[in-house]
Amino acid sequence: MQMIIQFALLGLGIGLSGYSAARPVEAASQSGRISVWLSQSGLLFFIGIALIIAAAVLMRRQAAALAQSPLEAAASDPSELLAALKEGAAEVLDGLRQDEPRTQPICDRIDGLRDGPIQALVECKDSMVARHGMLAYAQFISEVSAGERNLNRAWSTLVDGYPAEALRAAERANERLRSLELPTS
Amino acid sequence: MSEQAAAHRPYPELTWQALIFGALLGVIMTSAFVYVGLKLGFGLGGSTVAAILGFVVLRALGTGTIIENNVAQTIASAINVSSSGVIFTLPALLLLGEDFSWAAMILSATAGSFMGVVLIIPLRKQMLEFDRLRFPSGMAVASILRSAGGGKNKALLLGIGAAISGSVLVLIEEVNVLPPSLAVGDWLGIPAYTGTALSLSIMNIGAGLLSGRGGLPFVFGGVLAWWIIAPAAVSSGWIPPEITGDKIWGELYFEMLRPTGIGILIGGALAGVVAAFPAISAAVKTLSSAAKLSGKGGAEELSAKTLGFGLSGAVLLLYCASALIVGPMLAVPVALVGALWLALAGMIVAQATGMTDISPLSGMALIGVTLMLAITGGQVAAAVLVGVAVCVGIGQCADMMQDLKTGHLVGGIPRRQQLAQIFTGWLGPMVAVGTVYILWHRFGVDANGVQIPGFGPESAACVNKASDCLSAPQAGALQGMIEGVVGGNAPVDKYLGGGLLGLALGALPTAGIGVLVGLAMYLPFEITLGYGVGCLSGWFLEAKKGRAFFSEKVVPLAAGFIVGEALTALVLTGITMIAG
Repeated sequence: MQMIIQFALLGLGIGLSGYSAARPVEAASQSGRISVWLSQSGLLFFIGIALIIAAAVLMRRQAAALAQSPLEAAASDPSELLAALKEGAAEVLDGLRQDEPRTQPICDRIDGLRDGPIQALVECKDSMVARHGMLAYAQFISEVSAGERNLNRAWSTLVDGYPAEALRAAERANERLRSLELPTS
Repeated sequence: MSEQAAAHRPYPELTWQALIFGALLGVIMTSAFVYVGLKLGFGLGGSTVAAILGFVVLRALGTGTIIENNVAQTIASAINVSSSGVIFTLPALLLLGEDFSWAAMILSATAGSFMGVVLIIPLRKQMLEFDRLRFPSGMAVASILRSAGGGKNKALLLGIGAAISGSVLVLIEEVNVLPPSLAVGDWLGIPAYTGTALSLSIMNIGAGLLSGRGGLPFVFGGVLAWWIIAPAAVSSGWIPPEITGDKIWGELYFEMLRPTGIGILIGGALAGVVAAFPAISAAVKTLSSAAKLSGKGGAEELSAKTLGFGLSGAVLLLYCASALIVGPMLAVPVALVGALWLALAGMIVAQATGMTDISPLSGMALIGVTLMLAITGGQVAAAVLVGVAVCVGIGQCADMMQDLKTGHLVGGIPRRQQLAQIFTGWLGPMVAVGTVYILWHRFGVDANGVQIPGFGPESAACVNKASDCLSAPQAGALQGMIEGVVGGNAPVDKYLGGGLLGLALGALPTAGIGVLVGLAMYLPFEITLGYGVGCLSGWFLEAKKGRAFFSEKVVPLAAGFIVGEALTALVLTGITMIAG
């Protein structure tokens, strides 16, 4: 119900202000155009803007409440996701340390990490930012991204037939991820 | 070479082959695409073409690894991106008969190109790592590059997607058995002025598929613009009585919705800058701390210092270019405001392409030109000079972000990609402006020593309907806009109203809504609707079948849709050009 009210307010607000903003205006000068437009459409336009702001306030309140709900209650627990990512990256490294690394299983494992824990960690952004602030989240996700990019590099270089470079990339990925902790307030 | 030695040989990435091949391909594509743009009125994307040609050529040279190929396509598209920026702006100046310095134009385009690349340094972190924007074309190029190792099924889906989109384009453009769009509005009894049609551009649907749920506000904006505001405007009697039938759509689009959409885009982006400030500031801080920890991999990215030096250098270059046109005093505000606008427009375009794959380049150039006309008291040459920098710069921002997205997905090192783009990006402005110069002067001067125009609707070739007529339709559109602004007919009321609406949308908790709603008003509904079909399908498939299915099946198919149409369009354009 709350969501219906929010979207109704938002739709009505954009509709009213968009309609008023698009109104044709005839005036001799540029400043004249603005004053004519304000006198003809100003009231309806600002009612629309007020509705958008009201919708935004309601949406922000709901988002804040959701972000403050316990992380453990969320669909995925970030600490479990991070642990799964570290474990997966270590498995990739182990696979590459074999005398003859098996390309397909290693590549499948990397694809699985990207579509699994990494994607799920990215989806925790709003709650992490609400709890720990943008800078802490940025530092955390930068490390995850660097790890992800190096895993992707291991994928490409392995497929290209350069297992030594794939190993170096997987080592760098593990280096970035191994000591990584979830942001703390 | 023994097997063990082969396994330990250095991995080719930023190689001379990649540099030379990328630069050569970029130069060829730039001059060819400038000619195509002046003749047919549209630009062509270079990344997909370069990625596929890179595989063929670099493999033939005995290297051609996935990441080396990505470097080559980054360089080629960085050079080629100048073509669309230059053909939209510079020819307008020639058609208007203005005096200007060609050297100033090259300097301005180079400043824009350079600024576009360095602006991306913090935006890469913000948009790719923090906000995780999808950049559909970047994903498509990554799918091409990874196709060799992605398994047979993915390669097959990529091929099927490319075959479908290419075939549909041929059936529309060459065989004429399919219309460019399906008139769904007529079937549903919706008035024609709403433009309710479904574009059969499969590439557009593919971009929507890759964007998924994130692109839905764009569709919502289109529905609101064309199904709510347009009928309300018509029933309010806003359409002059002399405008009837099919012309009502044009009146609604060009006079009401499009300028309002441009305003919303700007307001939405300004609000986005404020909202994203903590993220951008965090990006700069993480860049600085990463630079200090180079042992830990910080050298993978360009530092915040490079951003500072790069931006200062680009502004100085733009100042020098402006000084050649308006003198040293007036060049100060021209260069500063131009650079500020370029930065904001670059963010708008990077965000729009990240979310939808659509770049509102012409609208951003128009605002840049309008701003400059106001600052310089109507000096058209100075306004277009900044327009050139803005167009090239924002094109560079969008292209670099797409390339970095590809790089992230294939494991390229951002620093190497950015350095490659910085060191070769200057070639594009030289070639693009040089090609325009050659084409403009191709008929020489008449008996009185007066320059005979090489292109434009008034050129002898076009008047005589010769096969080498270059009508320069995009420049004609900008020429019309400039004449409107100089004549005092700029729709400033709509820019202001739209801008305030965009700012208000910035209060919503989800980032980028203003840009998406503005973009929806800025575009004809048939594009939004086709894209929306893709978004809804992508969202449905990801929710029902899961992320793994989406990555394994939907991404390669959608990438094929994008690649197939781009390549087929290139081939069909080549055939058209050869056939005259």
